[in-house]
Amino acid sequence: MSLDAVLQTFYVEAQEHLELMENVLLKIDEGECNDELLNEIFRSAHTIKGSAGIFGLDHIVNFTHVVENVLDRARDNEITLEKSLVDILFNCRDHIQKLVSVNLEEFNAQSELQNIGKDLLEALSPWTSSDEESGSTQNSQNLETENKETSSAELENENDNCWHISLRLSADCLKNGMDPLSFIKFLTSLGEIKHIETLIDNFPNTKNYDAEALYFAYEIALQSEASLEEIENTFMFVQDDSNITILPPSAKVDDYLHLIEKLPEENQRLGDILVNCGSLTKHSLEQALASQSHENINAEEPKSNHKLGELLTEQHKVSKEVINAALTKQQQNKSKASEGKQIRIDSNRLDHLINLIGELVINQQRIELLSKKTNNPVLIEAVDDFDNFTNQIRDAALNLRMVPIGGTFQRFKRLVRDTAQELGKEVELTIEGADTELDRLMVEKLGDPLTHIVRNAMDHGLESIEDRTAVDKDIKGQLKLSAYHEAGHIVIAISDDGNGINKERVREKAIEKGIINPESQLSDNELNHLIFHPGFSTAAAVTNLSGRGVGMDVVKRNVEALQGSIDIDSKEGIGSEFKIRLPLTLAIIDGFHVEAKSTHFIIPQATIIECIDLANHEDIKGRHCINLRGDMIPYLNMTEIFNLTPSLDVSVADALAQTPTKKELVIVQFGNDVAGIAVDKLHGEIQTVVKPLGPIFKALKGIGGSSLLGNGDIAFILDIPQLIELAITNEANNKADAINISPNEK
Amino acid sequence: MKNTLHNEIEDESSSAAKENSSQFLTFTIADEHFGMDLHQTREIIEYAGVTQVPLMPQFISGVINLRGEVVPVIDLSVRLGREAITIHKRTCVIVIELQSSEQHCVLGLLADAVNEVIDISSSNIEDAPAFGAKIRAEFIQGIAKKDEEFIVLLDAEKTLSPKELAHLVEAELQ
Repeated sequence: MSLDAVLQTFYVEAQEHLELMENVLLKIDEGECNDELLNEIFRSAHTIKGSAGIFGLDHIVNFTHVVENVLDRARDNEITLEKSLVDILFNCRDHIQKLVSVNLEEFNAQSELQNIGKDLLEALSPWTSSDEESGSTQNSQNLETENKETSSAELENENDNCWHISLRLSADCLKNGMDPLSFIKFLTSLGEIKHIETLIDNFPNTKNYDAEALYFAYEIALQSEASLEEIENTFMFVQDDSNITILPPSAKVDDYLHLIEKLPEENQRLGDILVNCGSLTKHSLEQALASQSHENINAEEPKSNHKLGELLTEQHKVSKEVINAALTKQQQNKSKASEGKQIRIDSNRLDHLINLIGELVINQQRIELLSKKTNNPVLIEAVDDFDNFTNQIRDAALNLRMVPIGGTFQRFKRLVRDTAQELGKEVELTIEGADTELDRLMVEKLGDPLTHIVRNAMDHGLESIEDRTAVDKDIKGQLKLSAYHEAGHIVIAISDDGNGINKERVREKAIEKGIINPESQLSDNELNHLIFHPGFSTAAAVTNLSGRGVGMDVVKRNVEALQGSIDIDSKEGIGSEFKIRLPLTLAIIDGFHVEAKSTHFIIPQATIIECIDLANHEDIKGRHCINLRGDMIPYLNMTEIFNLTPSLDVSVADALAQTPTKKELVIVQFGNDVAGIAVDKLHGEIQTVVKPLGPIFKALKGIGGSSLLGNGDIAFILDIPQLIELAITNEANNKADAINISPNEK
Repeated sequence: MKNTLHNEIEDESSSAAKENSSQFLTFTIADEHFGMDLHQTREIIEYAGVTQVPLMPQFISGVINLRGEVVPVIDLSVRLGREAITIHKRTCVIVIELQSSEQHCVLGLLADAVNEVIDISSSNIEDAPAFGAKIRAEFIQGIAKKDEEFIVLLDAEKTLSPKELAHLVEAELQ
């Protein structure tokens, strides 16, 4: 993997962690605060810092480090996350996000960004601790004290997580095909090598020199989040004949002392190397060596012997704890990874896959037809199994493109919180239908229009607290984001219980801006739609949230670019609702497959109430209405409404045979309307992929899209509300025609 | 000195001519020869019936399933103001791809026969006559002559502009 690719991974990961932090902060802000959440947010900050460190992105490390410290203190219950701190943490999170988006040079060039960082750190200072200094001095103090317990919390803090690795590889290492350099390189994948010392003490004189032998020894300080096991695994192939000591970040000076003793090189020199590595401080080394020699002198004293033994067991105990801590951490990381396991794929590749699978399904259908002709039961069964799997593959492939809208909605929680604070309003956001699935591309492109609408709703729609109390409304404004399927479309609705659109003001403004004539009579609906006019804004003062008059027309254009439409329903004093209707490109819907005059149609399953036999129900007085259990239900005839003629490949005789008096009626419901659709044949339920018909057919009402049937035939997906509307206009036109024609009729 | 300069000019002009020549796919509809920029054509498939779309004007023959993609098929003959094409067993569908500014669009065109791909240099392309071609002048990119026959080079972007086709559909529906 090239460095760029790895960096890309870092950005993606950092983004995920930032989102996680935001979610946790939102939960904490809502009053939900427990250890798990605190751990989660701490881990996120910690991981960002760690990975940034690997890439030498010091600007991120320095800032995140402080944030992490504060979070750590909260985790240890040293401080509580009060409202003011949460606010600062929100800002800190945003700042980290900004830091991630720039590289080090850019950061150094932007003094503004640096100042924001400074201000934030300043703001955090009441909550940062003085622990750090005491942490570093702890090592030396601990030498003589009996207290050698190491809590996992301390592990995170001390010595910046530097492991100390002492490498004494066997002289035969190179002969065995192992290059020590490759181990060191691999270590950089686990963390950052802070310091490395090469020891050449073993170097023989030129006479004894063997060009194939390894004489180097290494002392390495490694800053890493990796577990002991992972680091040990690096040396898996050489550990048998080499002398490798790995000291965890929390290792006590005693452990180093032990290391110094164990190694063949001279103690004082080794000590200096350790100081160079940053593993020991000069002071503690001197103390340690002094006490060591002191102990050596008093070797006969049983107490110190005992102490040495204790030291060994102690070391054992420590490393065990370290391993446990490392293991649990690793497991946590693993479970976290499986929660949000994702890969990123170019959507073109997905489209290609989906097309291929479409071919597969069609071929499968052909094989099925052929197999049935053979009357070979074994073959037919095998093909049936094949059929089953092909369909599963198709569904799985189609699902790849779909993502739930919940992720997008979730982002608005933060926006609403911040905007509410800025405006001094109280707003409660409810989310419905978060698991409604939408094509990935659409989800991405919906972000902007939704943001505009939500901001507008909060700025202009919802009233201030005083106004709300004045009209006896709950001071908390309600804002609702919902998504649902409706008749082959996906509807995203944004509703508020605010003031609604002031139609008089809209009218005045439109006249003032010359958008409409003062005389023109407009319906309420038309007045509402005026807000989508470019350059229209009703806000008296331009706030920095909205009111620049560029919002709503952009919204409309964005939605139309997605082949969708936007509608407003607004009642003064009660609230407004924006409805974005989007076609389900590539969405899968459950439909009901019917046929009329050899043309295939699919009726969205969600709209269907029941299917009945039309022959059993007589028309009421020649009208297209039937009496269904006492209710009068109008119905429309597909053949008439779409002016269908039998397709060319059906012979006249067949066509005659196919137009029996017996017809099937599918009863559909849309909103409060119930209607019947008369068709020739019912084929049954089908799960189908919606293929948009393209811009040319945009004017065609009643058909929302097309779909491919298993045998490759094309079926049209009915748009029930449009179809009913079409029937109504047709009927009105016919009546008008009838009136016009009747006097002249021959 | 004079000579070399002359040569250079000649070289330039010939290379310029090469650059200006483009490849066209030629096809026949009712004994008339047409050409279309090869870059805009994607593939040629056998005509195997279309699914008629309800209420459509005559120039929209229907839609076909092209490897999982639903593609509208245009009767180019009607679009150019002639009789509807007669379907026979050699009728084929030329699939073209328009990269117009609004959005990319894939369409099928009905043709009686597809002939060949030819290079035509721009110098051999004449402007469309102001009248007499019985095709709206703006649809014609130019007229080329090959083997004593005229080939009408169509401007696909104009002839088949999705926006205009959509307007025509809308007009038909009202």
